[in-house]
Amino acid sequence: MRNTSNPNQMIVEGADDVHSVVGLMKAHVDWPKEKHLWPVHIHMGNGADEILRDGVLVSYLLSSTVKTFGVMLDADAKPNSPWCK
Amino acid sequence: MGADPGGAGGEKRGAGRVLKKTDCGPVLIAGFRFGQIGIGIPPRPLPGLLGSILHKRKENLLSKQQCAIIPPNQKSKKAPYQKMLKSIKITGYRGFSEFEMSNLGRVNLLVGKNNSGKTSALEGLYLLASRGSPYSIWNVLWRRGERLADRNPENYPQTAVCHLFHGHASPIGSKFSFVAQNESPARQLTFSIGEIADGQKKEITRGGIPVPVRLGLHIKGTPSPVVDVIPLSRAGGMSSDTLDTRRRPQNVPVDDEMPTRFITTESASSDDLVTVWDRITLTPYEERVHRALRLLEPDIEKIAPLASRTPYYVSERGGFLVKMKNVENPIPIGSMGDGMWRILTMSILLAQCKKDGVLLIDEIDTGLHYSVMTDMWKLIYGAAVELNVQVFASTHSNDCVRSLAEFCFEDSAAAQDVTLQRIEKGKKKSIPYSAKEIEISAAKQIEVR
Repeated sequence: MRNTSNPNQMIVEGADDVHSVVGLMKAHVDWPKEKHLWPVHIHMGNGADEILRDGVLVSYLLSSTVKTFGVMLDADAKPNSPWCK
Repeated sequence: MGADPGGAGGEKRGAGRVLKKTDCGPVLIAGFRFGQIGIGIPPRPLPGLLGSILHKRKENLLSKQQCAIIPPNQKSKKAPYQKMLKSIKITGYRGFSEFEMSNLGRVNLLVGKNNSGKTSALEGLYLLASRGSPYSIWNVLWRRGERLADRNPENYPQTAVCHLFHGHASPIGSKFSFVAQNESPARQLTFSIGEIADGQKKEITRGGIPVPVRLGLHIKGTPSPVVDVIPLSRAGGMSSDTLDTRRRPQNVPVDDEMPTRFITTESASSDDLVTVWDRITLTPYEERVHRALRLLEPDIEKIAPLASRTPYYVSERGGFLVKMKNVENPIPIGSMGDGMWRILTMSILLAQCKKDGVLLIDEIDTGLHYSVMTDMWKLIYGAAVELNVQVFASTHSNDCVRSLAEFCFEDSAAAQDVTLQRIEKGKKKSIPYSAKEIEISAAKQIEVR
């Protein structure tokens, strides 16, 4: 499945978070090795600020292919601050 | 972070926090659950903050740039944008039982899957803007090959009106309508099938023999339509002899009609373009056409129409000669490929729609290389502002969408006047994108089509 046509997509802050999610999933469910077979396409968002920049999440939600969309943000500094924007 | 996503490194950050909820605080996970399909996208419009973001749009279509071209002392007067359509509602037309496009701008790009209704939406705009002129109805049906079979070559050809109606059926009482909001009172048009009053009865000639008609396509609306009724044959056909070409040439708008042209994937005929060229020859707009052609071929110096016309069956791409740098003899424009003809068509017909007009372009990217598309949008937007034309185009091309995003990025003032509308089959509303959302989607390779 092409990444852009995967109906399940999520966005994380960076490459580390992709590895974390994949590691977590591998520990609990069958997770394909090949990236194009992953049941969800994981976008790297270049940090929380970029993910929460005005219009970014909306654009993902407007996508013609996305049916399910997840957002994962690191809450290491101020847990509430990114969501207050 | 280790490179092994499946290894222990996964617990070092992110995933570890999810599992252990350690002292660093929880990782925020919203709207996603593995294993099951998580929280889906709610039906649009979204409630709450996202909904308001999604649907926030400029209230006033007069952008800074538009205001700038109106002299300050004239701002209080009716601006030339009074007829620009803000929204259109289509009911009962072709695949649309009910459909609405809103937040329209000066340049609007329609995207969507095959058979989602992009061309139907363009047709709706075309019929509305041309006030239901019999020519526009005929053109819409003829272009799609919606004709009634007739073995007698002496009969006038007929188009099958029933295909305009939702469900391809047009019993008495069936109707379709278009309503558009703009600065001035709503422009609306309703087409319905009904019996023809005695005073309205006309005869359709078949093989030289008049055939009385009973039913007609009644047209009502504001401003008043070009004709009140178009008589239909017993088979539900609209005959070409109802077009009354002697009374009104095809491309001459009547008063209060939005000058409208619909450029199909076949572009326009040379006769069409040569006729319109007469209006722009020796005007400043002529140079804009030259600039447009130079997007594709920088060595073009100028073009000129031929005084003598070739018969239409000889060439549909004739009628113009091109003078190239360092080439002594002019060459026919037909020698230069489909893209050149496409650009010529768009740039010339934009001029025909000047002053409150609407230009509709189906599959705008046809014949054009992606590398010229950003410049194409510059050309179209610049001419649309200069001539006060509203442009609606459709595409399947990702390059076309990306080039529009690039144009928006380069010209932030113009971007306020650009929208992308995705049409999805069965949905009652299009999904409008603002310029910012177009840019972000293109930059992050988010699928919009």
